[in-house]
Amino acid sequence: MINLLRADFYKLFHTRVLYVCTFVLLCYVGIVAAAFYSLDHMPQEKKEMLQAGNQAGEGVSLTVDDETDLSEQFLQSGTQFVGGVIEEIGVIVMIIGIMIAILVGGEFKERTIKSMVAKGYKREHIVITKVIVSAIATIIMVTCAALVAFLVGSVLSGNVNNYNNSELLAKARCILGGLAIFVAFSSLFTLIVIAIRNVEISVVLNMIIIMMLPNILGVIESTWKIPFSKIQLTEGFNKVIQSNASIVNMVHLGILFVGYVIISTIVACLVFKRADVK
Amino acid sequence: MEYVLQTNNLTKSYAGKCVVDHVNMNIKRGDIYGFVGKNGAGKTTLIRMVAGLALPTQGDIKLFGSKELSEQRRRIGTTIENPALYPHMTARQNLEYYVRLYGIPEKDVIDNLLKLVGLENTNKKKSKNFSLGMKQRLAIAIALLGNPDFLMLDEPTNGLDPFGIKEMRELLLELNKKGITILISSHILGELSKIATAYGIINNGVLVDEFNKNELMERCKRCIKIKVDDTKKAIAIIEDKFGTVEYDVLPDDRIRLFSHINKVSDVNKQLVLGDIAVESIRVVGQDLEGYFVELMEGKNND
Amino acid sequence: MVVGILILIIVILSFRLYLYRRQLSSIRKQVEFIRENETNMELSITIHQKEWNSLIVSLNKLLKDIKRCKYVTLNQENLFKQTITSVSHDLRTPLTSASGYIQMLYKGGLDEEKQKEYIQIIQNRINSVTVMLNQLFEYTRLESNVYELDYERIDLNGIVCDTISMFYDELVQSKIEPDIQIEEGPVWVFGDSLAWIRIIENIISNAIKYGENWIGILLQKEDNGIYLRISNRTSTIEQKDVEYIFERFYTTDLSKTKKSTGLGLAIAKEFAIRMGGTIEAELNDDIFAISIRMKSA
Repeated sequence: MINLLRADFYKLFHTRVLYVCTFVLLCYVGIVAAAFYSLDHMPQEKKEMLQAGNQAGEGVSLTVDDETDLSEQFLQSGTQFVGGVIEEIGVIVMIIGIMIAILVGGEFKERTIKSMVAKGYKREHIVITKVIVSAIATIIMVTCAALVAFLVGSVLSGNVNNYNNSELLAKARCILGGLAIFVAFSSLFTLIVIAIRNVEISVVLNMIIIMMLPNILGVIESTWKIPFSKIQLTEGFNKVIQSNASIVNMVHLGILFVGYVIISTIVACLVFKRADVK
Repeated sequence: MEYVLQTNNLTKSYAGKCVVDHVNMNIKRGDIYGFVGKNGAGKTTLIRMVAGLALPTQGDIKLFGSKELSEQRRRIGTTIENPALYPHMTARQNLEYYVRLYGIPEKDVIDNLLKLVGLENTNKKKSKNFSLGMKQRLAIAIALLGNPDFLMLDEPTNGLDPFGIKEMRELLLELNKKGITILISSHILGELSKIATAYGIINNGVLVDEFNKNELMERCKRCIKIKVDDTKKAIAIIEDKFGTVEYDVLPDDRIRLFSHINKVSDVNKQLVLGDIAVESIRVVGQDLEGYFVELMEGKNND
Repeated sequence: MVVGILILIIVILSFRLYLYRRQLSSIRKQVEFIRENETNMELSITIHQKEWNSLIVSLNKLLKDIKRCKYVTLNQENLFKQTITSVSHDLRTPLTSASGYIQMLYKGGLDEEKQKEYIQIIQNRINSVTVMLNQLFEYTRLESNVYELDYERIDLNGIVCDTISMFYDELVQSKIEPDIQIEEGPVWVFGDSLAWIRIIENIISNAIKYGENWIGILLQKEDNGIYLRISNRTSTIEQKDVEYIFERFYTTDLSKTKKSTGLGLAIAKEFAIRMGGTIEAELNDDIFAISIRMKSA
């Protein structure tokens, strides 16, 4: 299996998918940083944007809570910006979904999977390799984005850090927790792509999962009291990033992470084992 | 005799339709096995099952005499249907990928292979920009990585110009001399007949026949085909009057006489004089293509 | 913190060690597999580290050598079996023929001239058997290094001329006009005169047997050495035969009708090399030539 990993990592670093997706994420980070920076220097527009933001509802934007002090800067320090970026999991998970759909799905589309299968590698090993490579790709992408966010944030705001120790700890939890759920999502997406073996449909499905599924499950939960929130990654994450998060919450997130990764891998193995490879 | 591949009642059905029907295929070590059949006859499906891409509905496969297929598949190189290449990587990068996948430690393997298939000057060209012929060559190079003992090539001359086909043929003969067994599935009978040492004919999923080159020559030999009512008596007359034992008797009372082919009327006369009812008598001799087409259409020997 | 890092390092190192052990056992399994099965497979590894890589590459080269040896041995065996078959056939034919003639003589009732003719034929047949056996014997001795060559200063000029004249009858019979270009004066080399005679004999004999209507013999001095070239017109040799022509038991496809042991040129080559010279063959259109170079004395 080590050879499978070596080969797949070679492919990861010699094709464009990882680089393009990271670039897209970095652009997003850059644009937000620029927006915040210019808003910080334009007090009047700031208020208007806040109003509009609250009325616009959900979406791909950094909304601020009603309680936020409007006199505060958007961009305060490097660490604050990193935290803010990571907390916006919607955007990042979408890009992860697209990246994995292309990375793993591409193998099925180009039929290159058959080279591995025909040489006698066990199907389980192939699946596990894909899960690992997707996870590493995700980690690389997010880490790059975090570093850049930190640098840009620090440079533009002039401060590296404006948190005290406990807040810093909270931000650290946020970043680690974020990485955990991103990896968990990547495993889930890998499972979906292996099950469907079609790039375009996987992309759509991955989008649906991150954009609509939480709402749908929320509605089902409040109506029929099925505790979906216990197994939802986004919920687990939200609990962890709050300042009063306890060890229980972190363990809960940890279990979710491990659970998602393991169950996705096992199901993907089962699905792939009996499949006809084109 | 060592068999590289033996299938036993290998079957594959999709939604009730039998695409590969209880096939018993045998490929001997060192043969170049020409796998012949119409489009959709089941050739590719069978190869995919041997390669492990599709799971058989029924039956089993033995590779190199063993049922440990995962282990033995390491010794196989395949090109199946469309060449499986990474489109955004160059020829060299594609090979680098596979070198890592197979754990090959030698550094010069890639250069040698590229030279062998004639792709050493492609440099930065991404494989999505290759012509079909170049893709085919790269696929062969990949199949040759890892020193396989058995090559399964699905329509390897597809997309090659006549010069490329000649090069491919010479390459395959070279490889066969080194002891590599080759399975080629193809439509182009002319090419196959130049190099194949054994043949398997498949029609509608059924392996109609399997024979080697010598047998094929035998069957297509020129002869007089005679249908009579009493074969034993007819044979006695032939032996007596013409002094030859070069004949055989087919089922359904047909005699094939391999000598005296220019004396059809004499043979006829002698048989009639000997009180044999000669239903039909004519000279036949088939070219390979005719014979194959007959087999592929499923007609019996007439 | 420091403890944490130390523990991490230990974990990584143990994992590495585990991988190394796994690799060792994987290599052992592969070697066993290659020994037990006839396969082209070579060793492959998962940990690619400089030392591992070079070891495995060297082992693979060893495997390739073994494979090549097996291949060569197999070929030699096949070639040898083929030769035994054809040599026995070649020996049987003249003996059978001689036996036939003896039968006829035994029957009697032939006039004296006929009898003499038949006896001569029988003698010829037995001679050709003797020649073949001699060749085989000579070659075997050469190969097993039992042969001892005398080294003395000899005049090639004389030897070449003498040998050519030995073939006079045959040349006349085959209607071949030899084109002889030999330098004036003695041509000195160090060597064994009997060996030289054999070399020239075998080459000329070949040329007469397989050649057509023309033979060229050239002997001249060159720089510090001598150059002997014997050429003939031929239609039985193709370009692809040229590189194998000196191999023992080698006969060209197109010459299958004319039987020989295929040892003549192999013997010539052995002798030439033993005496410190070089021997080459080339084919230009339909002219086949064998050239020998040696240092002069």
